[in-house]
Amino acid sequence: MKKKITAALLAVIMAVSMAACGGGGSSSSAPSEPAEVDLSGNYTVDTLNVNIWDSNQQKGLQQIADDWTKESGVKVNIEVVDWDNYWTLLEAGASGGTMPDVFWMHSNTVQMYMENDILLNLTDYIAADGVDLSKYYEGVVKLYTRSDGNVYALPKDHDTIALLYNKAIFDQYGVEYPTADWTWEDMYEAAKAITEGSGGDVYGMAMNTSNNQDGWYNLVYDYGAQVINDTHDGTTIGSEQGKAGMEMVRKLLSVGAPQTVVAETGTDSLFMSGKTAMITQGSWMINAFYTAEHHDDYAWSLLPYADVNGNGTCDDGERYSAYNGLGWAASAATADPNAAYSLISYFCSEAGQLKQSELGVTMGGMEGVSEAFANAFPGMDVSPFIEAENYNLFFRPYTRKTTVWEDALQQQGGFLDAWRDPSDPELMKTACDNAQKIIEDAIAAE
Amino acid sequence: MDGIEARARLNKVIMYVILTIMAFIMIVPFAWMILTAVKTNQEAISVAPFYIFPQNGWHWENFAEVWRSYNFIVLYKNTLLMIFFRVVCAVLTATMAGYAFGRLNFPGKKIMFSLVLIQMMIPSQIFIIPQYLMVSSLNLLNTVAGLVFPGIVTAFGTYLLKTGYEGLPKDLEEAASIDGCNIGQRFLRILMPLTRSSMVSLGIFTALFAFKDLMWPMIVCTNAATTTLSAGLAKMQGQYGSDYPTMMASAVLAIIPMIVIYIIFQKQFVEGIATSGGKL
Amino acid sequence: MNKKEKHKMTAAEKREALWAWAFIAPTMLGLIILNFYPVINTVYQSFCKTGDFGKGNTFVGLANYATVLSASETWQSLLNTIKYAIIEVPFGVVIALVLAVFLNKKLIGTSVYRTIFFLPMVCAPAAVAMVWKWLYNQQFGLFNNLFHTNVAWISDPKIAWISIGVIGVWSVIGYNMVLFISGLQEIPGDYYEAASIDGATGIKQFFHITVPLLSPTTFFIVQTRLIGALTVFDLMFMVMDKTNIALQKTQSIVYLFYTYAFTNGNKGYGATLVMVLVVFIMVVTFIMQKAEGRFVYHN
Repeated sequence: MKKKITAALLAVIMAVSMAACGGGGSSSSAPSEPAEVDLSGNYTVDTLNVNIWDSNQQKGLQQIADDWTKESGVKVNIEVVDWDNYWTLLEAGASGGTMPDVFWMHSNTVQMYMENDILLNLTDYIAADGVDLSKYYEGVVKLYTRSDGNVYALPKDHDTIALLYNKAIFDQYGVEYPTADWTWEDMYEAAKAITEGSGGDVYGMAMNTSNNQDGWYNLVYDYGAQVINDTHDGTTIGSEQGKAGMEMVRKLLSVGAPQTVVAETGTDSLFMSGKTAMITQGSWMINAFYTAEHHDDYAWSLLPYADVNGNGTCDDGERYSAYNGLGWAASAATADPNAAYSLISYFCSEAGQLKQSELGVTMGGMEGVSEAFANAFPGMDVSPFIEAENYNLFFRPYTRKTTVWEDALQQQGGFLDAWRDPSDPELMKTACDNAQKIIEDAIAAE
Repeated sequence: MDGIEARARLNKVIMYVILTIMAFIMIVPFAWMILTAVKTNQEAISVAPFYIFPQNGWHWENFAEVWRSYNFIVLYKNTLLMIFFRVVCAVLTATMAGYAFGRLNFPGKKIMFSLVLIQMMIPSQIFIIPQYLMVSSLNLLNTVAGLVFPGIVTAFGTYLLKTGYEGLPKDLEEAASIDGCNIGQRFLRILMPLTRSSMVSLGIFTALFAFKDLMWPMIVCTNAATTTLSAGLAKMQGQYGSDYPTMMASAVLAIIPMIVIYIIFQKQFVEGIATSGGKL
Repeated sequence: MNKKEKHKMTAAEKREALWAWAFIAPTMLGLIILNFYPVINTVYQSFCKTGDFGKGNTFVGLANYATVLSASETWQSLLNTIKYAIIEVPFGVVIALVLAVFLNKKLIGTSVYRTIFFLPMVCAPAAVAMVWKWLYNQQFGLFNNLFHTNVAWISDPKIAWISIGVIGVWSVIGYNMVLFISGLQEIPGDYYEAASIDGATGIKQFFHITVPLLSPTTFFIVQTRLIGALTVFDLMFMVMDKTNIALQKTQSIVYLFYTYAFTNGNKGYGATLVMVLVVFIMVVTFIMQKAEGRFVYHN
């Protein structure tokens, strides 16, 4: 108790001195001195704090971390913080607070974190450790490499998207199950049949438009446009192809759950409560459905494709799945960079990656370790996620400040009106034109 | 006369009906909180049929589950410490300042007191960014000291206690100074004990305010292990957004202690709010 | 300076002044550091652009103000805040007044009713908002399933602001009621006795005696609740997810401030939003002060 009072008193005294010199508190966790790279296992800390945002993965990752603890003697404390709070927390930590030692990075934000030296520069460690970066997915490695060639995170995983459907609902309304040959039009017809057949009690499909990676982004690419181009400095969402893709999104939304519904209840809850027959989901969500009460009714299928040339088969460039990969990064201000790197490299080692697949946590960031993932869910066929890789993949669109335009797209002046009223094709066309401008302006302002 | 009596009785019935309806409306959210907390998630999101009561037994163990997985002990501890230090600091500084403003004469009194009044008129949101930066540069983020920080002094409490001291009879000090007490002794032995009710009011007000505050703990204590009940709930909602029984169980756990305290000290609470009447 | 005040202080007066200064020192020091310095600092920051991760404040003059004042979301959120206040304050006050009058009648069981009405006041708004959000849920919520409706209570922009206002009213009734009861107890009973002899009924008494004599209390409550409502945050934050499509039509100005200052880490822009809020509240306070003479009945 005494300590706390002293601390409070100290706070006042220090604040006085600070007020006197008018400091604005811009102090921050300055990048620590480039610490000695020492991979011999002499660690100065006894616990590492790890933050992640997905509670589905906590158990499995803790198991892998415990294996590392056996070797290193350093305890690993994994804390889950939900997505929104996660970034607020890291932002606050990076602006002068305390950061976790090891944490996930994501394509939305990593550029800013790398440019401001918030993350531990792993380049020397990787070199000393002899890690072969070519074993990992190229897009993921590229994402976590700064323009000057320094590497700030190792690929933790990669993910793809598939279609999830509820067999019981399809049976009930006499609609045929999705197949690998489905086009988005087929999906639309099936969703329509179910929505109309149930009189609106059950939605044929549900898509939360704020989840873009597992939703509408995929259609934009299928129809031949790009949300962000390969050089990350432009977009073709306002092109004819982009509009064609978004028109298909609009049609799907018009027979699916209204956005007011999915805004309050996640599409996963809607699906599990039997209120919706189909949703598109990322591979990171499998476990939630695998452990759900009615999982016997659930099945996965390849994402539908867009038969742009109308020849009735899926040609190159007509079926895309978004993929993204998280990175394991460390704070530049961590007390023991060697321990932090050691943990990261363990997570990303072949053993760690294999175990991650086997436990069904996620597919690997390393290539060739994900076969085990398909077998991690006995009784549920999750092969469509792996099969998706035989078609086209596009990396989750990002620029330097991804969230700026991602947020703006969701708002008034972006897609909001079109999301809200999917019955009007004109709204969607205007929205695509707006989106083109929003993204271009945002990139120009970066 | 019969007509008047009948009408009085009718009035009474109407009043009871209205009061009871209102009481029912006030209770419904609490009842639903508890009813959801003891269901399974599948029951909670079942709509056809829709269940008011749990069908497969009341899952009281949901509370134990949430208690364990969310480390409620730590949340309780942090909240309690924050409330304790804020109340002690506020009552201590405000009672001293209130005494000086209420009973003593000194140069600069008017200006100083006008500063107190000005602070009360400014919306507190204007303080938050610099306060946060101070806490951050003092390395007090994620500490109890950081939680207490903005509540070390209170303009409102000073005002409240000043009013309390002014309300005491004028001749108290004269009697005391005849006994040879100095100002400090007078304050401690005679006057302060008489303002007990004002101090209790301020204490309750401060405690309630601290307990309910959401934004400050959310920004200064971002770790689950250092935060308060309010901010902890916000975290849980983000994380378990669609596990409704879990969320309702944690909401119940978060409000139960204050409700119990309130029911025990009801009189003090009601008086405290009525006299302080502040900007809660 | 008046000459009379400049007289030399006696030893006793000096002692008293010293004691007094010692007694107010902690409070005054605290207020200066924790409140007055921050005011100046916030004003300063509102002229600055905050760099990534709070690094490097650069002075940008009125640029933030230009952006804030030309952004439609600023004005929309001010409007949202006013709309919230228009629900919370009048309903919260009127319902509380009626309940207070009933409970002041010395009926049997008043203490039970009072305890129940006051309950929301001792609950964390975070918890309250969570359960209301659940009650409002379009698919699984109690309201829609009980009344067999399909209303998007909190995600239809046309309705969401009212739904949030209702939570506000529910939360604040007990608090207003307690203040009203203590105000009612100060009205001398002989006013009512005299009125009863004149044959005035309950409702007449209410409008001719209770309402005017209670007006100082009412004014006080309206004023404090109005300021409270205009700075609403907790309910909005907990009920309205970032992905809620009605967010823009419901978020309050303080919510917007929180988003910019602490979620996006743009302290300079956040400080500018606070300045807008402060000016707005000052104007409201000023109008309230002017209005006091008109609406408050002085005996």
